[in-house]
Order: sequence, then structure tokens, then C-alpha cells
Amino acid sequence: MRDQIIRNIQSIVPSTPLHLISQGAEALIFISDHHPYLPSDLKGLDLDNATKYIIKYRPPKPYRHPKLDRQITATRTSSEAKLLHKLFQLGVKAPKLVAMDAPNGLIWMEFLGYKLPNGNFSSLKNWLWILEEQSTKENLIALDDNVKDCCTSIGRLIGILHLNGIVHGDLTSSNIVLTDEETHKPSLIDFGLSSYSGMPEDKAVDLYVLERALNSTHPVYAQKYTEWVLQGYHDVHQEDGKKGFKKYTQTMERFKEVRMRGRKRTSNGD
Amino acid sequence: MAYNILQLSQFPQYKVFVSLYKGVTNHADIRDSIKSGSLPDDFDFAFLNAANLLSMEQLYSALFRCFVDKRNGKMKANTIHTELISDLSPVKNIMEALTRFGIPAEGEKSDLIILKVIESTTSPEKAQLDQVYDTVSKVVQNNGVAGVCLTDAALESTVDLQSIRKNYKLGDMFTEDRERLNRLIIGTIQLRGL
Repeated sequence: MRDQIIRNIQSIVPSTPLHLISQGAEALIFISDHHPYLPSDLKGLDLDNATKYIIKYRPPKPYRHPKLDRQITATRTSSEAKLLHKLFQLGVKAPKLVAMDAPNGLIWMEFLGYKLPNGNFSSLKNWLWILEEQSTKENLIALDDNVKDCCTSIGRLIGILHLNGIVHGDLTSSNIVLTDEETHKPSLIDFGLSSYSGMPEDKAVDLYVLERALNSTHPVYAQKYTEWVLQGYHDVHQEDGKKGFKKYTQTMERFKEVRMRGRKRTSNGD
Repeated sequence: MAYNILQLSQFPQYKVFVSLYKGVTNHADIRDSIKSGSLPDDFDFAFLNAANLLSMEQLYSALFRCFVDKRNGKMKANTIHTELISDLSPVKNIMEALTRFGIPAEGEKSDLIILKVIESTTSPEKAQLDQVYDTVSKVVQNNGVAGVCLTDAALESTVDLQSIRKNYKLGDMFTEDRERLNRLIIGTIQLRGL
């Protein structure tokens, strides 16, 4: 199955070396050192990394009617690409859109992140795991100021997203990436489940999913991490003025309810 | 005489002849001849107003979009050259794209980028390319300067940021920061009409 999918993509993108890095239910993620359209002597003007690109591929679903499948794939692909571009316009750190082939389910985007000292990719999860492992009672580096700053920046990012009526849909510590070795500036990635929504419910679920993810991946320190994220989330709403703060209050009220009942609403229409 | 050939690694079957003519004086005549169809049949080119081109990346991005749409059977225009011009434009309307991104209607002088997409599995011969260049040179007048290679350096002298602001309908989003402006344009090209 997977080999077939890889043959598929290689036939659409010939003469481009592709390296599979992850496979989800809907898409496969590849890395390539080839820009989709620039010759090797030209570089993208404003990309963090001009040597690697991410290719997100939504393969055809064999159980769907081919025509319908192509349409669904094109719609999902272009709406994710549009969202990436929207985030760039808003000034939210996220991978920049480089190219797209919607009917074939392909998006090329900027590669963000770097290698951590242990060789792993700089997702928030991997970074925190290193710090947690190195923490001792005397020296709690997992709760250092730079972790705090990083967490509040993440909260701010989510806040800006929400203030603009966008929910991420899959916030986990693997979908947050550190983009700079020195400043640890975070970026959100994987907007495949994102949508437009101004509803406190959807925003609260976004926060709840992240809280749950932090709890399960970083059980010892999750409480602090979440607290800092929510601090950043609070701050960015407050800076937005009265309106922003009202949105914050509504979302937080709903957040408490979601915490009590879980992500899914009950079927009796609550 | 000078021109260059652009190629995209994903589409090896296309070689794109391109040359930049600065200070063209007869653009209005060329425009009229194209409209009235009085040019010879083999005179098939894309004419771009160089004022709207910020970077080679922008042009490559539009070529990519054009070739992808052609492969997917999603071309909106009848010819690949018209398709390419409309791929630079933020709007769907082809006539509007030609007005804004093709040969300018006003002004005494203009800087024109002249492109020809050549479909060929083998590398085109130099003689063939020279002939393409000759065909262009016979029609386009710019006080004998003739064409130069199209590069990012050459574009610096022809780009007009205010023209980009207007034609890409950037409004408040406009910025003089070229890196940011470039990405705004590339996103627009990749997402047009979707």
C-alpha cells in the first residue's frame, strides 16, 4: 500500500528525490532538497531553510469514486494551502506556502526546525523530553525561563489564531516546532485539521486538546507548561482590548466546561 | 543579442525562451497587431509588462502553476502564453489579466519581457533559438538596444512597486519589504481562482 502511494507521488513529481518522514491517516509528509520550480542556483528569498522543503501529499483514496475523490482532495489541499498563506499574511509563524498542485493533493511548504543535540527533530515534544531527562531536583531545567518563554509564545500564537477566527484542530507537542536554536521561537505546523470558527466551543476544544496532549506526553511538568501557555493566551487577548478580552472570558468559561465533560459534546444538544 | 532559457526540473518537456527588452517604443503598435491578428502565424509569444515582476521566483512560480494546470487539464485560457500571463494575475478574468500584466496600454516607453514556451523532449538547437530571437527583434523596437538576459539583477531596474501594489490588489497589505512582498505574490499566484 505504502509502496504504491510512493510510486504514485513519484510519477507526479518525477526526478525529485523524496524522503518519507511521516504518514498519517490523510496525508504523507516527505522532505526533498529540490525546490518545486526554482533552478538550483536560485533560492527562495525569504525562507528559513533554502535547502529542504516539506511536501504534504494526500494520496487518492481507493474506496472513493475517482472523480469525487479528486474533488475532495483538491478542496482539502487548497484550503490548507490558503490557510498557510493567510497565516503568513497575519504574521503568524507557520510554514510558508511554496507551491501547490491541488487535484493531485500536493503542497510544498517551507521546512521549519532544526536538529536537537541528540539528533532528533526540534519538535516541542523532543525538546522538552531532553530537558526533562536532564532535570534534577537541584536543577530543574525543564522549568527554566526559556521553557516558560517558549510556552507563553505558544499561547500567544494560539491566541492570535483564535482572535482571527482560526482553530488549529490538532494541537499537540509534536505539532509545535522550535524554529531557532537560540531563541526557541515556536511555530505551529500541520494545519490539516484547521478550520475557521469564532465559536468559544471550538477554541476551548483546541486548548483542551493541547492540555490533554501535554498531560500525556509530559506528565511531570504538564501543569506548569499549560499554565504558561494559558498565560500567553491571556496576554495576547488582553492586548487586543476590550473585545479581545471578552472573547477570552467566553473561551475560558467554555474551557472549564470542556474540561469537565471531555472533547466531545453529549448527544442531547448541550 | 541576449536571451536565456528557463527550465523547471519537474517539467523537462518545456524550455522557456525569455528576453527582456528595455525602453520599447512601439508597444502600442505591437498591442494593436496582436489584437487585430495581423502578425504572422509563427509569431506566438507571451508579452509581459516588466513593471509587475519583482523576482525570477515570481516568474518561475507562475510557470509552475501554468504547467501544473496544463497537465491537470485545468487551463483557463486557449493558449499556454495567455495562460501564463493570467497565472501572474490575482484575478480570474483573462482580459483584465492581459491589460494589467501584458503589454501596457499607456506610456511612451515600456519594458517588456518576451517569452516563448517551447515544447520539446530534446534540447533546442542554438540555431532554432537564435531564430526565435530574430523574430522578436524584428518586431520589437527599443532604439537598437535589443534584448538582454532576464535575471533578478535586471529586474531591479524594471520593477515598479506601485504597479505591483495596484495590480496585485494588495492595499493595506502592501509592503516595501521585498522578501515579504515576494511571498505575498507567490501565495497569490499559487492560490489564484481556488
